[in-house]
Amino acid sequence: MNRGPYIFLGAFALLAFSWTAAILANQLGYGTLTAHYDPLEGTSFPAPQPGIVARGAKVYTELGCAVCHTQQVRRADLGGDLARGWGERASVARDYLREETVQLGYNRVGPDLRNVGSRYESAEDFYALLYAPEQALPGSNMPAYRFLFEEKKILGERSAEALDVDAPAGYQVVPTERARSLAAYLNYLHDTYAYPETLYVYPEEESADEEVTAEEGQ
Amino acid sequence: MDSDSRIFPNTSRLPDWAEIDASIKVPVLFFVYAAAAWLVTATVLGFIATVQLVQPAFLADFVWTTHGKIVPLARNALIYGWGFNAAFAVLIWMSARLCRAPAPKWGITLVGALFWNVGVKVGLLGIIIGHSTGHFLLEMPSYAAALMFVSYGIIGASIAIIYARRLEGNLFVSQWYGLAALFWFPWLFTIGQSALVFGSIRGTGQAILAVWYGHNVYALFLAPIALGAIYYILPKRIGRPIVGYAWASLGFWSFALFATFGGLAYLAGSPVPGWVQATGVSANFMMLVPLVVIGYNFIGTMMSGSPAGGSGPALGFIKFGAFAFLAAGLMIKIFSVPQVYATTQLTFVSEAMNQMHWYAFVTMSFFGAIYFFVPRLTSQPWPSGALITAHFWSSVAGVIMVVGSLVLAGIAQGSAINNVEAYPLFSDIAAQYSGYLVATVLGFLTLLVGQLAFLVNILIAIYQTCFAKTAADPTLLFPNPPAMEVNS
Repeated sequence: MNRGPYIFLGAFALLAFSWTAAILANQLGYGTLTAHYDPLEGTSFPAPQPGIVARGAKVYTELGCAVCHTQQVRRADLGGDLARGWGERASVARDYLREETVQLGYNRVGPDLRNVGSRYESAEDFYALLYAPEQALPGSNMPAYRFLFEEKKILGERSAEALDVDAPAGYQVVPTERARSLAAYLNYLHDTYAYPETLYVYPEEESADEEVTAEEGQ
Repeated sequence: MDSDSRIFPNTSRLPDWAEIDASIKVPVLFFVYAAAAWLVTATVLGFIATVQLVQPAFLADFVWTTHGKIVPLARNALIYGWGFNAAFAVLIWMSARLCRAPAPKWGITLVGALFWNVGVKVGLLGIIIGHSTGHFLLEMPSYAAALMFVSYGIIGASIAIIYARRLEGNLFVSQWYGLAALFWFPWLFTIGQSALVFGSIRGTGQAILAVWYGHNVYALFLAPIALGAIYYILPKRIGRPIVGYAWASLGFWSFALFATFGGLAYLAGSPVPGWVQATGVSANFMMLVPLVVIGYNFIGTMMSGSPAGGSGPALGFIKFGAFAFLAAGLMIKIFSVPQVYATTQLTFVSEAMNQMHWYAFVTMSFFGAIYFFVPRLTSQPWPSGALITAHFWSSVAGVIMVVGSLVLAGIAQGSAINNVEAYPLFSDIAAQYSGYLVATVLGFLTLLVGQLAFLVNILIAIYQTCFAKTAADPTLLFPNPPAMEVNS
């Protein structure tokens, strides 16, 4: 009996089934999810990305930041993400709608970055972290991204963006366009808006936590 | 009608083995050489990436060698460079032998082979210069993917023609795996590329597609070919048929059905629908069915007899690959228990499982297959038995070190991340796991030693075939004498 055609057809059917279940069903299920317009705030959420943020996302992708950083906050029952202050609530699918390339990440060599924009004040904080992580965060194992900065001759006044680091006399260290975009993107990252579906992804109430702790202490 | 003429309806058309070997020799040897060279490249890159984890300043000041680029480079060189070239070599050889049919003109296959390797190089260059798409195992930019797709078409068509030329309708289990993998990959690649790179899947659907594709490159291409090689070489070297052969078809279909969804378990806890996560985790548990069946076939056959005529080097690698397949299946079940993956998800454990699948199982099985068939193609024994021994033991030691240290690092990392009171700062967490990564660095170095021995052996073997014309007795080629695998 020639079993070749059966193997071929079976293999085709199997892949078609796998694709239908894993990819097509999800695309039909929530591929049409839209941003939520809030009439009180007068804008939609997740917030639209300004051009510099979208460019920064491309820098994030190119440099492979996702190799060491995740962008997903997990539920309270799956680890210490919320206790660590990596987010006010667990991430939901709608948070990622504005991302051209969704980079959930797969390994936390460094901290989660989904809400990093709410942990640091300004672009300058990110410049300091990117230029010399050892100095900004002692003990950090992040490589320095010196190639995102350039030494420029001081012409007249020092640039307002110049980093507060050692540079040859008469020179200053300033971020490149790529560093500016990346910092803008990181600054943009924070999911705080409460969508209808986020009702169940907030951590338990403070009081409930205290009760548990008290019981454990006894 | 006697049985011979029923199996081989036109006996006068049966090609002899020398003709079959001549039709595949050049492309297969090219694939083997290219694969070995890529493997060394991938391990050097993996070594650099791991050193950077321990010593972040290492090669950090150049945009082309930043850690975030070295890691995808190493991964893509290992999969599309080593994995695919080796898989093509194994698949062509296995198909030609089992179908007892010659390949079409080898020059065409060689053109496909050359362009596949150009495609991979272009793709890696694309990642270096910043054109990475950012999706797991789909990082290579679309211009490289197009080249690879056409090359795969040429190589795949020449393998499909071997199947079409076969005179015997019945297929051996290795041929099921080979034939299915041959068609699965181009379908997968088309879906992955069209949906992610050219298409418009938005939101976390991209993440689902990326893990689905990334895992299926293993589950529906590399793993089936490696399993096919084990099913082929094990009974040949043991000298007994596969034990429980009637069950093998259950193993084949259940493996494909459950393994294809296994990748979704990487998203357990991620912002994707709950049923996606549950499907992935359940699929990993359902993998028990193919594990039991395939394990019964493999271990039963191993225990059914003593190796035919001494143990050649191929058998050691093949046995290691078979056991690694079973071990990986059990490990993935442990890491799919919710209480466990709350700790091990999003840590080095996922990289440990990749190395377990790609290296301990697939790569070791491919080594065994290459050690088995190259001497039969070149009609000469391997130039150096000592290099083979060195390769075997350094691979065993290296892969155990790499997987073991990554699992330990991942557990230390995950436990520290979840223990906020004890480790409030991330630098405290890094201090917990970085010690284990020193062992990973040493593991990569150990692997590299063996791979260099492998590459040298292949280069000498190819040199001898091309330039040192020693007329070998063609009757030695069949039945396959195990003495061919070592320099006696």
